[in-house]
Amino acid sequence: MTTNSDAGTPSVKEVCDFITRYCSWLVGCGATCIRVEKNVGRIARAYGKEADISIMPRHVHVSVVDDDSHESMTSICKVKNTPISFNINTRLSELSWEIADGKVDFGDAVRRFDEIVDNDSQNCWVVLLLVTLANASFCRLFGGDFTAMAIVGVATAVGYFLKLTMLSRGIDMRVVFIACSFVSAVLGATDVLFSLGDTPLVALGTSVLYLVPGIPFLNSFSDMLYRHYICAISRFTDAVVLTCCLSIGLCGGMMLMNVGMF
Amino acid sequence: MNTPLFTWCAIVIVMAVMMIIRFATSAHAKGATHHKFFEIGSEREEIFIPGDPIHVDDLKDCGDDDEF
Amino acid sequence: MIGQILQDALFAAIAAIGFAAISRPPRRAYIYCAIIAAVGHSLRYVLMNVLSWHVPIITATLVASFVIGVLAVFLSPVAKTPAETCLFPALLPMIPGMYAYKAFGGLAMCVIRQGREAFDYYFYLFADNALTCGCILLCMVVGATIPIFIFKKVSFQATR
Repeated sequence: MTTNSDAGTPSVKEVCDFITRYCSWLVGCGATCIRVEKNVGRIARAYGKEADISIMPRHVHVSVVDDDSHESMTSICKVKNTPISFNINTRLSELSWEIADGKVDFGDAVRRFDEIVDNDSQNCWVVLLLVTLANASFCRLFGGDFTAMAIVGVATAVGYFLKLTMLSRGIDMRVVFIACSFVSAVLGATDVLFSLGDTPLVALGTSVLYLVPGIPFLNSFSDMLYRHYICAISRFTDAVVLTCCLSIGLCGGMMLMNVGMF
Repeated sequence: MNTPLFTWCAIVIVMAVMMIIRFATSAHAKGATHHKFFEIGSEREEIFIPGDPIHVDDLKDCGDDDEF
Repeated sequence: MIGQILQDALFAAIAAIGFAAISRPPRRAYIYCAIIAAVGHSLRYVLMNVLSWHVPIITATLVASFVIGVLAVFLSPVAKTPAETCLFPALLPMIPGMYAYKAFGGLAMCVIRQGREAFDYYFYLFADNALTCGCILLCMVVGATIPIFIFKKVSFQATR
């Protein structure tokens, strides 16, 4: 990407294109609307422009106006379909401050942006291990004994492995949630089936909790507080649909294992 | 066999098979050189003592290439 | 008693790290998430179980999430991350997941079961769990967002 060599500042089109891509990634990786607004305003002001954005459930709409020439440009872009990543969120926020403080020029900022979004890899096996330990700990927080913790750990590890495998094959998220919660519920019912331990129902109840979409729920309520109601409702609906899928899998598993939920 | 036990066994077997296949395929993909379980060693490998100098020419002298 | 509180803090910290890992925080944020979650969750435990007057879960969550919010606002500049990178993963162990799926379970039973009495019972379970879940989530976010409002400058300049 080039800049206007005479002024040393990028054109309205360049800034608009950059901010549109920036918004698309920031919203996609699970940033709250207020965070996106603040970062975008900061970047635009650094280049002597004003930017207004409208965040829709699946698209972002960016309008950039030059303060001096009043030249304006509007752009619309699909929200990037990417997993929630606080790493991208943090690094893109850092980038916005670097631009605002004049530490990077426009060309460098674009390169930094590409580098940030391209290098967000994570070792999925480490995550699997951490999630397993987390859900086993969660079982303890709900009063489960060590047998229950071990069973929840196995149910979580197998369920999360299934989730990774199915997602890597591009299977729909809702189908993945139903399948994973079903498998985790059946394995979580090992306590009930073989009469192990003293807290079989805690094991069964907590075995699927790693699937609860906590961040979308929190994001939706945060957006609501800042009066981004459309985005709040869309994120809430996404989270509710996933929770519904989780419950379908869990109820199916419980029915086949002859265990009641209440 | 009652339904809960049958369901439990089915899920355990399916998931175990899935995991074995996944790990086997990833191990297969990772290993650039495929090691055979059985293979016929060269004459030089059989009589090699650690510390022996390794020269490519030596291998040719043994005539292994002609045999295999 | 102190042992139980420490145990609650320890397991909440492990849970926060594990659940945070799903949403990919930067590596330097893990330790702060764990500390904040441990303090917040153990505070909620104290409010709900240790005090002589047992505080209801919704109020206890509101207080605990406010403390989590304050800690996140002041620790995020140290961690050089936006406030929500430390805040949201630290709130995850308090997400009312069980209430959420029990609400759906109640709804499903409403539809499946025949007869008014059974319907009334399961509808009560659905409404009870859904309302509790919604109120806890709202209190969590309100409690955690108030400090961000109060200390706006600190929280939005954390990554500077």
